[in-house]
Amino acid sequence: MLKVLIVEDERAIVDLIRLNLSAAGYQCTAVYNGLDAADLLENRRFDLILLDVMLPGADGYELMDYIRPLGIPVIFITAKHEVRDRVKGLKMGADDYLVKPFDIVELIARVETVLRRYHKGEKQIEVGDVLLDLEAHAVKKGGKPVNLTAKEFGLLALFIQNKNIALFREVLYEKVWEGEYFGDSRTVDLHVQRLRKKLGWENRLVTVHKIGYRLEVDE
Amino acid sequence: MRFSWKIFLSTLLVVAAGLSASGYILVNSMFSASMRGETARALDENGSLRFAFEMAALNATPRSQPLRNSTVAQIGGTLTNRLIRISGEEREPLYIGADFKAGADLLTVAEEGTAAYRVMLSDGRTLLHTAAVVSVIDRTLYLETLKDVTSLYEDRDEWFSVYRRVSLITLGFVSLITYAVSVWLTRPIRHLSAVTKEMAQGNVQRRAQIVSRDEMGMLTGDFNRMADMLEEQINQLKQEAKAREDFVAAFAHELKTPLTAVIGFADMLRSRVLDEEKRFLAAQYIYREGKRLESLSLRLLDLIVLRRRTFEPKPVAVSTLFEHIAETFPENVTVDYKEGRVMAEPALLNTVLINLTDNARKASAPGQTVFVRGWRDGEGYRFTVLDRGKGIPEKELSRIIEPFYMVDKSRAAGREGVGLGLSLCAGILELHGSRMNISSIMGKGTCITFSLPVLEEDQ
Repeated sequence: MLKVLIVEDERAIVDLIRLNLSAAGYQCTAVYNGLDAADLLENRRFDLILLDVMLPGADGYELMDYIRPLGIPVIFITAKHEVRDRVKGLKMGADDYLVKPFDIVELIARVETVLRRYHKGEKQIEVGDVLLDLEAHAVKKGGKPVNLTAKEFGLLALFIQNKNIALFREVLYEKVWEGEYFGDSRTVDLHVQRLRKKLGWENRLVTVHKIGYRLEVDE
Repeated sequence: MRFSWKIFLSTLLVVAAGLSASGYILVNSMFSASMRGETARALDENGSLRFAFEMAALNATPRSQPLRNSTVAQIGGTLTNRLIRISGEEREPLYIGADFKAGADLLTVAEEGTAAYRVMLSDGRTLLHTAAVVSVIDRTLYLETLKDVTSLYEDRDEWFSVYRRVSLITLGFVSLITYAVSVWLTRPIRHLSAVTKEMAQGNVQRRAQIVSRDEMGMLTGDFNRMADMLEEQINQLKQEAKAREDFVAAFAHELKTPLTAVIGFADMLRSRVLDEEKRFLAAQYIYREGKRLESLSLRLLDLIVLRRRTFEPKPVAVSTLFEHIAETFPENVTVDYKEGRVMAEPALLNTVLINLTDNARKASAPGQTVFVRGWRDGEGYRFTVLDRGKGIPEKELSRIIEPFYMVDKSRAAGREGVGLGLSLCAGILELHGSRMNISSIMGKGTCITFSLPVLEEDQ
């Protein structure tokens, strides 16, 4: 199990992140200020740190100086959305940033992307007889390659990352097509239907009435 | 053209003109003085020749005999001067000296008793030509002389050339000195100009150095004063802009944190099947963070409304204020006051007292008492809120009334509040023309006090 350290002074945000990352299969530890984080990092190893910028004790930027030699990937959590703040974080060695307020889907996607970059995340995910290779961008069903378009692959990856979670059409559209959803697009439905057909997942990719779709996997 | 060049060239021009004019006048006056001397000598010579001629004529002519032309010519020959001419009544020459060469036109102006003279050029030489009437025996004759004055003119030319050389050397010296002086005089201007350029490039701290006490020095001083003023205003603007920026940044942070929780937990509720415990937790967070957003927006509204507000202070009996505090905080708050009436807006003043008391309670440990007191203090009425809580670090005292500033930054401690309370209090007291006085000792407690004017008829 991959270990994630959450450094954030707001208990609400900590619980939000912890609940969702735990559900996605991560082991989470939380501290509420910078000094505790530094103490904890001395004796324990983590695979990823989610770091708030505005912290009591030592702020995120100060803590970053301490973390960098450890070689642990860091995702900044910040309320500042200005470019120079983001650039500052990235320049200091952060791997990614998450701007408040953020979606759960976005949180999980960013965590997985960063971990994959460090070859820590799962590169190959198996769901039933379907094998998804995130690095090679390839999909196999029962050992035979399945041809998917880039959007279909993106959809599949999103479903697999969020197993048993109802994904709203707007969320799917925003994450895969990277545009704003206006509520009248049939694009998402069309692609999901093609994906079902190609993978034979008519029973796994369930339509959630008026909301979107959910990938059902027995755990 | 540069100012130093203007000074330099105009000075040079004036000096050159002055030198030439004075040289011309000087040389000419010297020349005319020597010319006068020479003329007088020539006329004297003419006079003595006439005298010699008369003597010789009287000697050579027997008594009561006329003077013959031949005798005139003969006498002319005996006179030592070779530059003479003697003419008869009809101006016909009777004797011409060997080297004499001149027209007869001067004779027309020569009259008895006076001598005429002119300057003439002949064969590249300058000659002084004199003519006078000689009356001897029965004749009226004319005696003319020539005198070479070329050397005078040559002298004059020589003087001119010497003077020109002297003038040129003088001009050279003058130009050197003038250049140095003009550069020296314009140095403060160039310095000022360089400083202005530097300031224009953004170095507003730069000031000009005052090097003299003249108008330049005054100008530099005025310039520096102007720069000081401008810098002060720029700094003030910068500070205001920074305060606004900080406020917006702090506000964004304060707003986004509860928003993230509300959106995140709502997202969880809608997209996931959760067990009872997690669903309650999510709902609880949404409720609490929503409440926090509400109090944040209300406080913010208070601040904004306060900034636009003008009000008429009216007499307020302090007993109503203190009783309200005692009712609002029934536990652990001791209210102790002397009667009095102050000029204030009662609702706003109430907000101040409630905020301060609430803060004091939050800083205190459970069971500790907060003291709210009031008494007449000189011309005013003084309010004091005192606690025995944890106190405020000294370096944070000055920042404590900034919006969103919180001494206890770890919101994890579960304390409510958005960090706007003291800001609001300071704003309200400012409207009343008063301000908070905060003193605090770490671990011992905090005392916040302010004074308001009492009703005039009570004074």
